Amino acid sequence: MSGLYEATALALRYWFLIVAVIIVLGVTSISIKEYRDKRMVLDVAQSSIGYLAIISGPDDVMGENVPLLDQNTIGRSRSADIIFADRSVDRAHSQIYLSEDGTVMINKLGRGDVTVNGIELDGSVPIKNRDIVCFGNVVAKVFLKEG
Amino acid sequence: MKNVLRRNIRTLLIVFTVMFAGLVVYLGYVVFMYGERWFVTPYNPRIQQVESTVEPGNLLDRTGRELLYTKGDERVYISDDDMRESIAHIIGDSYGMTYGAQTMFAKYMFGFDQDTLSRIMGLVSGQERRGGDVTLTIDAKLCEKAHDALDGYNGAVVVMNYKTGEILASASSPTFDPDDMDEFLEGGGESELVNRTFTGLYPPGSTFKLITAAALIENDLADFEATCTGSTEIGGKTIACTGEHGHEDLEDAIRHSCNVYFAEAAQELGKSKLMSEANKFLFNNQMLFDDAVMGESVFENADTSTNLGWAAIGQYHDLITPLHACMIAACIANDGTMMAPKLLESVTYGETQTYTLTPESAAHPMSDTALLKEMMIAAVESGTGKKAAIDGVTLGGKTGTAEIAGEDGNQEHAWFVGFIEDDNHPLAIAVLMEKAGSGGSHAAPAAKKVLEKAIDLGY
Amino acid sequence: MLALTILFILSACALLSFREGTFNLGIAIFGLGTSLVVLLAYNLAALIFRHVDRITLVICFFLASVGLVMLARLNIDTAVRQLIWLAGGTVVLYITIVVIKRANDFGRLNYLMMAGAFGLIAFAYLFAHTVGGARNWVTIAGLSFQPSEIAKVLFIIVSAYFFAEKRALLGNIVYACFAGACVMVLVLSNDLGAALLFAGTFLIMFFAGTGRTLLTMAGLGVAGGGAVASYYMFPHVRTRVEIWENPWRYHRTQGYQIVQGLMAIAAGGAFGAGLGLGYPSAVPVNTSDFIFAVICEEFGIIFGIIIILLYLVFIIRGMIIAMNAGSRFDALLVFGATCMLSLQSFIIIGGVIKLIPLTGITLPFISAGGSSMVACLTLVGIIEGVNVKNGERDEVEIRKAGGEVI
Repeated sequence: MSGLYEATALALRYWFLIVAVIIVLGVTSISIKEYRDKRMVLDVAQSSIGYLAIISGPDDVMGENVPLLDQNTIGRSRSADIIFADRSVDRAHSQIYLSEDGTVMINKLGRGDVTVNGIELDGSVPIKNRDIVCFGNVVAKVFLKEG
Repeated sequence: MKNVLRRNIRTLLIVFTVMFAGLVVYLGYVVFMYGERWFVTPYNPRIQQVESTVEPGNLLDRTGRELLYTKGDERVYISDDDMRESIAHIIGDSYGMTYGAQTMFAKYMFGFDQDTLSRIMGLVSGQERRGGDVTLTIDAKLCEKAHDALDGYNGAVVVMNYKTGEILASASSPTFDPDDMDEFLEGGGESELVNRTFTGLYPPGSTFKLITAAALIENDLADFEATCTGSTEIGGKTIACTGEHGHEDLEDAIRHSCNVYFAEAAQELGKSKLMSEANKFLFNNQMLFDDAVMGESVFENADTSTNLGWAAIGQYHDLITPLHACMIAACIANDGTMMAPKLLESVTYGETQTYTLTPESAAHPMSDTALLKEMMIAAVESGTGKKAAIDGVTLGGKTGTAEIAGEDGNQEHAWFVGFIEDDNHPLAIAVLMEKAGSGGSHAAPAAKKVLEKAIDLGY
Repeated sequence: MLALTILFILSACALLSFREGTFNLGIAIFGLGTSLVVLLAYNLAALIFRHVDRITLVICFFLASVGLVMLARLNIDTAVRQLIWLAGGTVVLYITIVVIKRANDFGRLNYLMMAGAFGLIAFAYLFAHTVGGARNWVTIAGLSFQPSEIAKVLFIIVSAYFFAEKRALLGNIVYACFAGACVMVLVLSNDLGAALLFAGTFLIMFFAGTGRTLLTMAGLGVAGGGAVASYYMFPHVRTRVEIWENPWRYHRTQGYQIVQGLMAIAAGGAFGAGLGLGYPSAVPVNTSDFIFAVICEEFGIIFGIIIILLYLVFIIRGMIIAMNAGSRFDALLVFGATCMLSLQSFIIIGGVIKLIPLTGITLPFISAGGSSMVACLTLVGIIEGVNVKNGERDEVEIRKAGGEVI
């Protein structure tokens, strides 16, 4: 066995060790991240009642699906549950919520108009799966989970 | 239902994590603690394999005398027959039949301890691989004298520097010639290969009284007094003494090596205090030292008061190795700190020294040994150790006559352990002569001869 | 990270091919071949099954690569054979995933499986030739395999079935007898490792499935009592314990294996002696039972510790999959498979480093052994299969909330 082989093998020990260390660290950190992300996503998914598919609206939510929980305040304010950064939307514009008897309701909070399938809303009305709702210039389609 | 299952799964997850963590910890711990010992066993084929590719370094004694070196193509031992045979157990043989320096320090002699960079550089530059030169702490001339002093009896002699733990001489008899192992390779021989100094277990006899005395001192019983009428009744049985010593205090008892005193003092002390003192002096201890593989000294808890008496005077089931006995004398001389035995002085690769001996403390059983030292000095001046006295030197010691049951009736091993009270000659010694008779008449004069030679050589 | 694994394989094989002074084409080709197989196996799985657990696959393939590299260093023929088994095993893995996806439980088939498993073990007991003191290798038409490995997989499936729902008492009794009989015949065959594995997995699944702590403890007690009894009854059990306590005393005879293993591990030190620089031929059974020792010798203790940690991550992931499973049966299946693989790794590594007495079983994915590789990959297939089921279920859930799974 040549001295050169020995020298290389000796040096490569550290390389092999580095590979192993990177793999075990990588595997562990990805596992942790994966677990946390999944937990978070599943929690939201399981507790949501449905979602709004944004058809037209501000760039940051355009084309997105926004999950709906039991209670959702919708508006321009940063403290709203669902934020639409559009001047046509009031600071506190509307609410979508689960009523006691299990129907999902939508109401109007401010001066901005809220329409359901084209009809302007006054007070609160129930909404169902596939309804089109508008908040000012923001248009969205409602998808609700059954049951 | 699902929740119970999930809970149980989680429990098992924790169990498995603990188990595997345990695996990791155990692996790391055990390799760290025992790895070297596992590697250096004589039946490790790796050591033999490497012998063919690496030129081993030389083995030297502390004066630079070459004990085992490469001459041309061969490995050659020191030519002086007597010297070679006296250091046989220390340097070991090349067939792995004994555990001497050749095997224990093989990793240095074959260059296993070189760091990776130097190894790579060495390989790339195409140099012939050479191991390191190992210098031992022993002086071969002193070993020769030590071996002579045994005067044909089977036994062991060991001399240590009690401040550093260095083993200056170690001899074990009967011995062998590492250059002529044929007889042993064919399965012959008797106990020549046994290193009695390091691994031979013998009843300590009266040398154990040092431990009993230490126990008395540490437990405020140093003023215990007894009257020796030649024998005493303990637990319904008689324990005889070597003479009628009359009324004695601790110092008298050490000087006379009185059995009655110590057997009675032990009853006052109680078995747990005596056991605790023995353990402090490293009895019942694994004795895992870097440079030495020693036998484990034994001190058992006595079951009856009679046996407690016997145990206190070094009989019953007490067992000790000569090296341990020397370490105990060294400890007393070194003001209560027992230094770990050292055999490896240094390792050099060409000009660079990669290892230098660092003294290590192994135990600290007593904080003040002044009283005990005084008594041991008195024992040599006017007691049983008179035959060890050296003119102009303050020598402290303790004789021992250990009884063993033999086929021809009871026989006696002769013991002497002692030290020189002089910072310029910080030496401790232990001498054991199997079946030679009384310690005072046989082991003490042997110790005197060896210590005189040591002083002569400048230690 | 798969890329790193490939790099590892290539660099190691490249190094090895120069070991004999002249370039060894065989090893170089082997390196390329292994990389290809690993690349293909992983990516095919990811392609075919959207929700396959990739990290678990990475761990398995990395471990397998370490094993293959080591085998290439020890004996290229064994290495090539192992590579083939890896490829074959991966196919079995895909099939298993599909089967698990579709099956809810196997119903009446379980009784057939029990008979099959016991039959295999009994067959081994009766017809196997003794290898290293244990009767577990059977040769049919030139191919040798270990029936107990296949029985392992069946055992898990059957156990999951019986613990999933409350079954008829008769069924439970049959199952209990089946489990006990398997363990006994294994002990009689002197395959103590497999016996320990079956018994351990049974107890663990019993605990998980019934949650009866007291009964499990009682079971442990009985098993412990059985172990102690076997210590007094069977001399070969006694020797194993004596060797475990002080192997150095028997270093030339029965303790030879463990002593050589320990010396190899010590020879490696923290960073290893270097690939190809150790002396693994001194270690007996170095391609299977003791492969961990030779890996520690050439790659170092730190590397060995990392391997143990990788098994741990594998176990944790498996348990999480079990906890997310949709049905009790699925959960118990994954749980059982994970437990079996973990217990197996623990038993052999523990034995080699002298934490527990040595028993002869293989180290999953790393040890040479076709049946072992295929059985372990099948168990991984079970785990992945349930994971795929979980993934699909979760995907539906997420879609309903408006999300998308990438």
